[in-house]
This record gives sequence, C-alpha cells and structure tokens, in this order.
Amino acid sequence: MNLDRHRFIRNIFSGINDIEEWRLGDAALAAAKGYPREYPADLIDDYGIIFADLVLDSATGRLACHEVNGPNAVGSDALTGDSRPRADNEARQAVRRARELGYLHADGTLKVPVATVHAHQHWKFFRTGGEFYPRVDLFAQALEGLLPGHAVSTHAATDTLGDEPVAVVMGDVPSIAAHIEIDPVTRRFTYRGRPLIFIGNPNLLSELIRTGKLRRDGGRGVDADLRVLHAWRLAGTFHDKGLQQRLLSGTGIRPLRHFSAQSTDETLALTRDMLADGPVVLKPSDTSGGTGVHVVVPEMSDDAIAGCIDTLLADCLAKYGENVEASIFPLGGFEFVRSTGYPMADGGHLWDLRFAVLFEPGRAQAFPVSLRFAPRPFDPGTFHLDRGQWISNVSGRRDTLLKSGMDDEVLRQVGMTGERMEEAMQACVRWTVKAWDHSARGGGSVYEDACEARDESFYPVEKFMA
Amino acid sequence: MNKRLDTRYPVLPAILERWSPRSFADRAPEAHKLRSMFEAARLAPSAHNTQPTRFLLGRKDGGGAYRRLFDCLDPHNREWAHCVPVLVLASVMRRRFSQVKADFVPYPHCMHDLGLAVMSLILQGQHLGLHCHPMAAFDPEKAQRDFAIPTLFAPGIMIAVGYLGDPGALPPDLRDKETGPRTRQPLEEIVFEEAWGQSSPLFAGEG
Ligand SMILES: Cc1cc2nc3c(=O)[nH]c(=O)nc-3n(C[C@H](O)[C@H](O)[C@H](O)COP(=O)(O)O)c2cc1C
Ligand SMILES: Nc1ncnc2c1ncn2[C@@H]1O[C@H](COP(=O)(O)OP(=O)(O)OP(=O)(O)O)[C@@H](O)[C@H]1O
Ligand SMILES: [Mg+2]
Repeated sequence: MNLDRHRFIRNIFSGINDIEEWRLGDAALAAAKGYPREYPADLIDDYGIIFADLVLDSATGRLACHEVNGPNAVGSDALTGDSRPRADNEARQAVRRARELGYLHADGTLKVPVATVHAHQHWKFFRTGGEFYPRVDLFAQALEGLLPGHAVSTHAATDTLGDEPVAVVMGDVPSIAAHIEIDPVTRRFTYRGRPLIFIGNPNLLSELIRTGKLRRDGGRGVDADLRVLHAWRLAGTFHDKGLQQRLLSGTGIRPLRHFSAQSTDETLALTRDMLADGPVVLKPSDTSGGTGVHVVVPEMSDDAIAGCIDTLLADCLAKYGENVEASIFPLGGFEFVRSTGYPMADGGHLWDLRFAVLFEPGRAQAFPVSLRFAPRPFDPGTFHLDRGQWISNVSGRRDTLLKSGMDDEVLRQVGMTGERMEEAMQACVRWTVKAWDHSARGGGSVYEDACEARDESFYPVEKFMA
Repeated sequence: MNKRLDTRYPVLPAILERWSPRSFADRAPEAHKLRSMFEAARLAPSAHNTQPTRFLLGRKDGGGAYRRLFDCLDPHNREWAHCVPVLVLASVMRRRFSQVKADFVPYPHCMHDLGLAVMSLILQGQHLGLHCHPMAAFDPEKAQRDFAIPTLFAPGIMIAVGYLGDPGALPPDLRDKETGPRTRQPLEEIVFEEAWGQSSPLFAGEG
C-alpha cells in the first residue's frame, strides 16, 4: 500500500519536471554490488547523512570533490528506489533527541506535543518531490513505530497544528522557517510554539540567519542548540565549502586550492592571484542548487571579473531576497577541476558522481548515488561563456542526463573502476569522521592541531608509549 | 571523624576535605549536585582538546544501570560498595583522531586526561558535601560487554559517590581503616629541583 501511494505521488511529480533519481534505483543490482558498503565509524556518536560530489580529475588522475552537501540534498533513493534507510535513521535521531531533551517519560511516552520539520528547496527550484514526500511519509511511519501509542500526523507548513502529539511538518524552506522560533533561554528550536525534535534540512539555518532570527556567533557557528538537526555536528561544515576542502586532506581525495573572501574587493584581489594557476570557480556561502556559482578564466579583464561577481550577488538576491549579504560572505574561490570527460555523440562532457554516507553511532554506510553530466561538451576555450559546458548539477534544466552510480559501462568510460569506487567510498567515510572530530573539538581552534600540521613529531607519541 | 591530612601550606577547602571513604549514608545525592559534578568534569583540559572521557551513571534509586555497574566490581569492593548510592564508570578514548593524519593515532595521555576529568568531578562533589571513592578493581571487559561500550573507549575507573556514612556499619577490618589515619609522603620526597632525587629548596626554609 505504501509503495502504491508513493508511486502515485511520484507519478504526479514526474508530470512537473521532477528529477526522479528513484528511477535509477535497483535493489537487486545494489545487493549484487554489495551496496551500501559498511564501514566502522567509532568516533561518530549520532545520526546523519552527507552527499559528496566527486570527480576524477583529468589533470592528476586523482579523485577531487566539488562540494559536500548536507541532508538538504536528495538522491538517497537512487540506490534501491526509496529512502527508507535514511528515513529510519532520521526517525531514530528524532526519538533519541526527544528523550535527551526531556520530552519523553521513562516509559517512552511523550510529556508534551512535539514537532519535526522537513524542508525542501524554494518552490521555484523544487524538483525532487518524488524523493522528498515519500521520505517524509516513511519518516512519519518510522516515528510512529518508535513512539508507540502516539498518533503522528503530517502537516503542510501552512497548517495550524491541532492537538496531535506528534506533528510532522513539510514545506519549502521559507514557509517552514517563518514559524520557527528560538527560545531565548534554552536556545532550543520551536515550531508554532511546539518543541522541535528534528530538523531535516540545514538550509533552514541559513534562512533563519537571513531573516534575522539567528545570528552567527563569531565563526561559522550559530547560537542555538543544533542537536535536533540531522547530521548536526556538520551543520557549519555544509555551509563552508572552503572548510570542506581543507578537511579532505589525508582522506584520499585531493583538496582543491581555494580562498575565502569577506568582501567584493577582496574577492577580486584573491581571484586575480589564483587565476595564475588556471580558471577559478566562485561560490557564495549558504546557497544551494548551483545558485551564484560562476567561473572566471585567466584571459578575463578585471572589469569582466567584477561583472561576474556582481552577477553572482544578483543571482543570490533573486533566489533568496533581501539581506543575502548576511549569509553569502565569505565568498569562496576554488580551483576549477576538469573531470575526465564522458564521451557523448557531440564530444566529451564534464561530470560528477555523488556518493552518500549515511551514518549512525559507531557505523557508516556508503553508496554511489548518480552521475550528473554537463549538458554540452566541454571546450576549454569557451566554457566560461557557457554554463552548459561545465555545470553538471541539474537545477534549472529539463533534461537531467542522470545515470546510475551503479552503471558499470558509464563508470568505466569516465575511469571509475571498481577499485576507484571503493577508494572513493572509504575516502567519503573518512571525510565524515574527520569532519565530525573537527566539529566536536571546537572547529579547528586547537593550537596543538596547528602545531601538528606544521610538524608531525610535535607530540612525540611513541616516546610516551615506550 | 577527622581524616584531614596535616598540611604545611594552605590548599583549596575541597582538596583539604577530600578523602576516599567506604562507609556511605543511605541518602541519594541531589540531582543538581550530580549535574554540577559532570559539568566540572566537562570543563577539564585534555590533550588536543580531545575531551576523551565518557561517564556511565548508575543511581541506586534509578534504573537498572546501578546493579549492572555494581556487578562489575571486584568482590572486595562489593563488600562495602553495596551501601553506595551512586556509581559512575568513567571510560576514555584509547586513540585520538588526528586531523593531520586523518586517522586514529595513539593517545598515550588518555588515562591522564581521564584522571583530570575525574578529579574535577571529585573535587566539585566534595565542594558540595559529597564524597567520592575511585576504584580500579572492577572487570573492565565485563563493563565493556554489558554496556556495549564501543571498542574505541576503554573503561578506566569506577567511582563511588555519596554522603559520608557511619563507619560502625562496616565490617571490622574495614572499620579500622575507615577511622585510621591517612598518610602522604613529605613534599621533600616528591618535589625535586636541580637534580632528580634532590629535594627542592622551596621547602627548606620556614613553613
Ligand atoms: C595531557 C595534555 C597535554 C597537552 N599538551 C599541550 C601542548 O603540548 N601544547 C599546548 O599548547 N596545549 C596543550 N594542552 C592544552 C590543551 O590544548 C587544552 O587543555 C585544551 O585545548 C582545552 O583547553 P583549556 O585547557 O583552556 O580548557 C594539553 C593538555 C593536556 C591535558
Ligand atoms: N571546483 C569546481 N570545478 C569545476 N566545476 C565545479 C567546481 N565546483 C562546482 N562545479 C560545478 O558547479 C556545480 C555547482 O556547484 P556546487 O555543487 O558547489 O553548488 P551548489 O549550489 O551546492 O549545487 P547543488 O546544491 O546542486 O549541489 C557543480 O555541480 C559542478 O558541476
Ligand atoms: Mg552541489
């Protein structure tokens, strides 16, 4: 009945241009390939999911990463056709948090009515309803199973809530954020006055910052009790693409050269420096769906680069409205990485391959999601004039060109052998654990870490062991 | 009963008052005091700010954890610990994750760092009128199994927490120990200067 209902929803969405990654799902093939792969992750002490967009760099033959996305991203259904393991993972975190925050009696029943929120992309850009709605439904069912005796009811963000004990609310980021408040004393989140026990999408934080309900406390951290967010320890990491690259060192994925700039002028100066080594991709903080991502090349004049930065700001203003400056700086500049190129009839197309890491205390599961291709063949002489030559993410275009991350023929053509796939998954898990540790110990503020980075023998461990 | 050690120099009241009793009153420590003790432990320093210590709390008047912690104790400790209202198991990360190596590395100071956190907890408890008694004689493998402690963590120490009780309730041999004197080495034996074994002149002059 469940699957029929979800198929029904997906049929509706397929008529309105959904990305439909679920169509790539093949449970039997996944099982045959041993996906998801299991890895121990002792350091991880909570639940979450990340999605890393990897490429094979044509220049070095090594794995590189465009970015790591948080639980705002979808595609977790591309393996088997549904997102049930992810929904279960989310529900288990929600119940654990309800207990830890004191909303459950010892017998597991609720003391107060609670809410969970599930936010998707701004409506205009939303094309993943076929993944999103079935997952929220699976989440609600899993939650009902974990909170016996309590009715769980689903709501739209426009609904007022009734007297149901558990409200599972879904809607686009701005509508959900409009009803979220932060308790001034406990710094906990509420939704329409109810305690929140789960927030499924970290992009809500950016929206709350943009609308002035939350402020950054100095660094990238925000002054709120983030433990209700899925993958909460990494919340700051998802919105800091420079940090994501730094965390890649030692994982097996080559970090990209990058800078981060606090103003338009600084962006211009740092971009100029980096162009000496090749094209630079500019990206704002706290955006998604490819918004504001632009490339500049060494041949461009300062005026042309400045024009590009202006366009970037205008993109963000158009998508997020007033006050975008509050969240898009620092603006990042990244080495342009050219993937190996996937041969199509009209030439070689750039691509990236998304991997997911779904984790829970003590363990992580990794699996490939999908390959995404730039819609037009790459030409090093003109790509900066044509986003279609290098932007592989599917936002804003009709033809998705998606291929399954289990499609051996395609993987072979881009150079992703079985060994490389395993290497990529191990690296993604390692990144996750490293980012988790980084966040747990204060986000890189530890002096000894800096010393160790300069001189590995700084803490002469072996001498103490002897 | 005065268990105070003689001191030549002033120290913090909680340090002066602290000792490790075996007789505990049949009275549960207040939750707010336990909360402060763990808060104090949380603030302890650690190498690389690893914050390696995790605590498992067992309250006699709470769920089943107390009994399961108690069952991990060595029989000699069980002889007196049955009157303890709260048991705490402190475990520590055996290895540290290095950001530079992007992997786990040895962490020779782990037990040291556990000790710092535990001493913070003990002194905070003492300050609030509670006594603690650390115990190494328990079965760490059993604790690891019974509480499904991940292998990354090593059970390090069990701590009895409660209000002082009546030493008269203890078995005779323990009763004598309980009321007997405590001893410490003189400062001259443990603080050297210039050369190993050579007492520091810091303590040579007036008191
Ligand atoms: C065993 C141990 C070794 C440490 N080694 C160093 C060190 O070599 N250099 C240093 O700057 N800090 C060192 N620290 C200090 C820690 O970085 C510090 O305790 C931790 O970051 C927490 O900060 P806090 O002590 O100010 O609370 C050490 C701390 C401990 C407990
Ligand atoms: N360093 C880079 N080199 C080459 N191409 C890049 C680089 N970074 C990003 N791209 C391209 O730009 C696209 C969008 O970048 P990115 O994924 O960082 O933005 P985003 O807003 O987070 O998009 P999404 O939310 O869809 O993941 C990528 O899919 C990739 O095709
Ligand atoms: Mg992306």
